[in-house]
Amino acid sequence: MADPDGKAGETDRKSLDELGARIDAAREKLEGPKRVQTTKYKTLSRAWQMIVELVVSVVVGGCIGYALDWAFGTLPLFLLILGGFGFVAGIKTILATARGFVEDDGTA
Amino acid sequence: MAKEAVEGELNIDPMHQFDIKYFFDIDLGIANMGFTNSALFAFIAVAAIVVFLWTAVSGHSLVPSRMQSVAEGIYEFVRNMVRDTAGDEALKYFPYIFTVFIFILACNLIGMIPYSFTVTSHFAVTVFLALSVFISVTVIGFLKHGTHFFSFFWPAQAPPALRPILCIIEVISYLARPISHSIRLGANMMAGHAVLKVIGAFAGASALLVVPSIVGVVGLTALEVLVAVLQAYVFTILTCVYLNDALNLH
Amino acid sequence: MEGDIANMGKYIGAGLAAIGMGGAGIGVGIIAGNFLSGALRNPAAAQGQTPMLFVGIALAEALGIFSFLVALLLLFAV
Repeated sequence: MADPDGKAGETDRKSLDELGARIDAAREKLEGPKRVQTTKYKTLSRAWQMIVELVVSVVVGGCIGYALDWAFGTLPLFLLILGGFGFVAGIKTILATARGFVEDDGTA
Repeated sequence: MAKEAVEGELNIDPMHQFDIKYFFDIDLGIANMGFTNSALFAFIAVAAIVVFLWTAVSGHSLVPSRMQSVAEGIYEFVRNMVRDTAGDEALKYFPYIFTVFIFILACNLIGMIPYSFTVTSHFAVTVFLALSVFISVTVIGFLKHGTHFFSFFWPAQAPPALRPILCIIEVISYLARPISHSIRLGANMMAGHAVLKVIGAFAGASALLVVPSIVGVVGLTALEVLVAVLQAYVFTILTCVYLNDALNLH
Repeated sequence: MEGDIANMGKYIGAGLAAIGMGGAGIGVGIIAGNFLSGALRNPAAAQGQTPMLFVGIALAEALGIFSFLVALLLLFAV
């Protein structure tokens, strides 16, 4: 399973697969269906991840805007516009993260 | 910013553990390329990985020994992660992702040993890791799709008037990826170790605080081990997600 | 005491900007409190809404971090 070209021969692998399936079935009977474990800590780190994503997006947008301003000599203009775009980009990113969050936890 | 002599015996210096020390200097004029404690612990991590994987698979028996089953478990875990998040096509890049995963995991875990140095707590290291992922993923995208890769930034379903604006937004969020990718790993490791140091320093302040501080340090150390593994996992799964975006363009 | 009026203004401005973080704290508290009161009334629906809770917290906290960034910029960049 781990290594298709490993030392195990074809017949060995077949019987191993059967054994694995039997073990999985027995385990499911014993412990109930597998559940994805989500610790409290994981949700906390996810919240921080969203904050970082939002702030970083705005900062990146602001930096690009500042560079454009530096090039064209129009100081507050592009900084504000691209900072705003960065905020929208950040919200888009954190909404995507939240969507992944739902998928991970199943229907919950 | 320098604090004067701290009152009492409370002398907290949580950032001291992240100091870079030079063992010897190799001055190239533009930068000092000398051997640092950070480089030393990165080498130790690599050596630990090589020794671990080598001894684990040296028996290569069909029924694995304990070490071998641990190594196979890690291998299979990362392989399934790559396949589930980025598809079968991404398995070509599995060696790279496995290398990134096991290097970060080893650095994080070696950093948990007292008096050692956490390589991944420095943004120079994490930014390097994230940028190498970012650049290679972008190059892979261009190699696979050619200039068609730019359609990743072009929202074709949006109303035509909004498309240029949305395109700028997409580009910004793409450029923000390596930064948030690296900050997440570096900040998590640095914050955890700094907190450990602060809690530990309370023990020196007064005899009353010794027991609570030791209990707190033990609990936090357990949490930090969890964080070390979790952050390696998070870094790797985000790498897979980015790879998936480059290979499949949404 | 040395320095000049401009420096003084810089530090006062940085201090004022840091007040914004308090606002973020209030905002996060309101969001979490309202989520909790809603969740206690209808616990079955609460789990599905946790992602939105985090989106709200991230938004509120990010605005506070922007004010912190402004304070840092005033201290070290201006």
